[in-house]
Amino acid sequence: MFKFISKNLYHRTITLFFVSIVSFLVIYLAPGKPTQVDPLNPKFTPELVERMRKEFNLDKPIYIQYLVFYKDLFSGKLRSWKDNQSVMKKIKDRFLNSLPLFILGTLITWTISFPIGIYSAIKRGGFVDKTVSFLSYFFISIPGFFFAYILIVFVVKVFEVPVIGMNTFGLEETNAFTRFMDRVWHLVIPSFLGATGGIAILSRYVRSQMLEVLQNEYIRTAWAKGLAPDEVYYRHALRNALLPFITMFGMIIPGLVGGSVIIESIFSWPGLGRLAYEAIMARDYPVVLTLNFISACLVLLGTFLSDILYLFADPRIRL
Amino acid sequence: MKISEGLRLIRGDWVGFLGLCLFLCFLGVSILGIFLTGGPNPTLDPRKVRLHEKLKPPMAKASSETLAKEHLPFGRFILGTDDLGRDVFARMLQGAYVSMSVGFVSVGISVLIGIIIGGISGYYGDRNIGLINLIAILLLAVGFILISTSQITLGLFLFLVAALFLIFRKTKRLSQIEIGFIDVDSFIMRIVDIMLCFPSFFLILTVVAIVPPSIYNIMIVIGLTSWMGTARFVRAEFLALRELDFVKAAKLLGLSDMKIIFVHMLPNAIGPVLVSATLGVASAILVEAGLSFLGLGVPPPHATWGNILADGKNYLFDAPWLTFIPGFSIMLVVLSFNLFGETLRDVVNPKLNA
Repeated sequence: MFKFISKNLYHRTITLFFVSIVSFLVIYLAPGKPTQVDPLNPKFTPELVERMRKEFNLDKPIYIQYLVFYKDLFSGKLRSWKDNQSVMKKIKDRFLNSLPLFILGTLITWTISFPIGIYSAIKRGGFVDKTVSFLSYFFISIPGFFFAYILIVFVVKVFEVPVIGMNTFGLEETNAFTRFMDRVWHLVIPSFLGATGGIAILSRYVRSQMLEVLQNEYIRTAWAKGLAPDEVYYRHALRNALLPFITMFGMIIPGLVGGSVIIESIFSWPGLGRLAYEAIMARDYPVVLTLNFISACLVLLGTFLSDILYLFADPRIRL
Repeated sequence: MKISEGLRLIRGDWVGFLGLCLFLCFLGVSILGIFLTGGPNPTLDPRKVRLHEKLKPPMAKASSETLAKEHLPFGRFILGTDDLGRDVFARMLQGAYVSMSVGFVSVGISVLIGIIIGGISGYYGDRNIGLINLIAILLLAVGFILISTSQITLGLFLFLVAALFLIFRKTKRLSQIEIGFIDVDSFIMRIVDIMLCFPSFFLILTVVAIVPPSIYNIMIVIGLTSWMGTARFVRAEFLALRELDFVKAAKLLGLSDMKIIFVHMLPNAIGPVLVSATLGVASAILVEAGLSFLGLGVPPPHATWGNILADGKNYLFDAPWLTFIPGFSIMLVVLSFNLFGETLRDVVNPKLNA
């Protein structure tokens, strides 16, 4: 057990090291220099460019830059090139904004797709199954931002609530209930939108897992014993069908950074995805690299967690 | 499996058949698009700006008679005009083949890389890495990096030398030097793990933002960041095929490795690859639309459905057709690819059609 975990961690550390190199190379070897972002600005004199290059170590050889960057990252001294703010503080602020969106979206996805998937597997070929299949293909195929605009127009016209941003400007004077409802509306629509794609994919996956498990011999045995349908479905089939979702659970963690760029842009939500987009557009490399590194860490953390969870959940894995 | 048999299976599943029909329609429209809107003097000009005709609704009559006869079918803007007075019908036609080529070329790149890497990993998996091969691959990588940083001559030279060496080498002696601590399969799978650590849309966004905006760069970037799935499929298939008798027979006959891999093993492993390629085209079109929305998509003068939609969203209330026509077109096409892909998955699955 301990050996497995330590070996796993060791492999992940090596992977992380190479990820750090690759993400650094992707940014630094690409054409275009961060000092050339605003070439037409008259204040951007050659002396200033030179000073900037010195300040941010851009005149050093690339391996020195690499070392300096990761030293600063781990000691928390890394500063954004755009506004000289601490990168960690920026990311922390945005992270706290993204978190409610992420948590609510994940909750919606998982609570809706499991009942749907299980039900359509049990009533395979029925009306509900066909409708759900059609709707899932619809949501997988529609461009996210197009659907978002339809949804915004619909919500604003029918419920007459504002949805862009995190809250409505100028509502600070009103009573607590109004402010609360305002926040809730602003939160629910983007989360729901982010969840639709997830629901479509996850419910299809639950359905196919469930169908696969239902074909097994032990399910036939369970039927032959004369067990009640609920007993067969939920006690014998579902438990085994749930195993692969441990992996899925590990894979949702990295969605915190990468999954929300478009949705946060549509709703002007000041979260991590929006920060990533702004940083990329401004060539604010420290922020981009840090976000890249963090999301790689999250991927590795997610797969690590799912490996560990498998150990506990699947009795067939014995160490 | 024969094609006729596959057709029979597809016809049994009307959803998949519908997907195939939609897909063929789309193919026809995009070929029509090449003929009608391509070339220096196209029949329908998607680039022609008519400021006095801007934001006309679908089926509106063109105001100027002479212009109408020359450039418009029936003298009408069938799908309306956009904010610069360009004919949306012509733009959609052009967008069909541009979107299509973005989808197909990027998936082509990713499938090619996936097959090569997955094939090597599955076929040579248990061998140790030859030092000389490692050096050649490093040269390939360095060459590629140099090409992308616009030092083209040196990069191309290194790239070609390494590639030619890998393809045409005859010496066995040099390949004897091996690195013992890791085998080919683990090495390649580590690389795949590293690539999978990057969230794909974020990585695409980063790279697209820092390379110069061009349609080819978008194809290449989408292709280079989405080969991991294919590589895994091919590897898994090859690991199973490697142990089968027909591969052993081919080896005993003294066929070259290249021939065994590409002529004998690949056709048996192509099923899941085709499925993931079909689904990949769908997702590439969606990714391009997403990039267009963020202002990083295929740059003008090329029209894609993604950037027509992204431009149209600013006129959502005044000119809803600018949003809804490309939006629903993308949806239909992606839907057709997804449906067809899912059906293909059942068709190529040997368990189901035995």
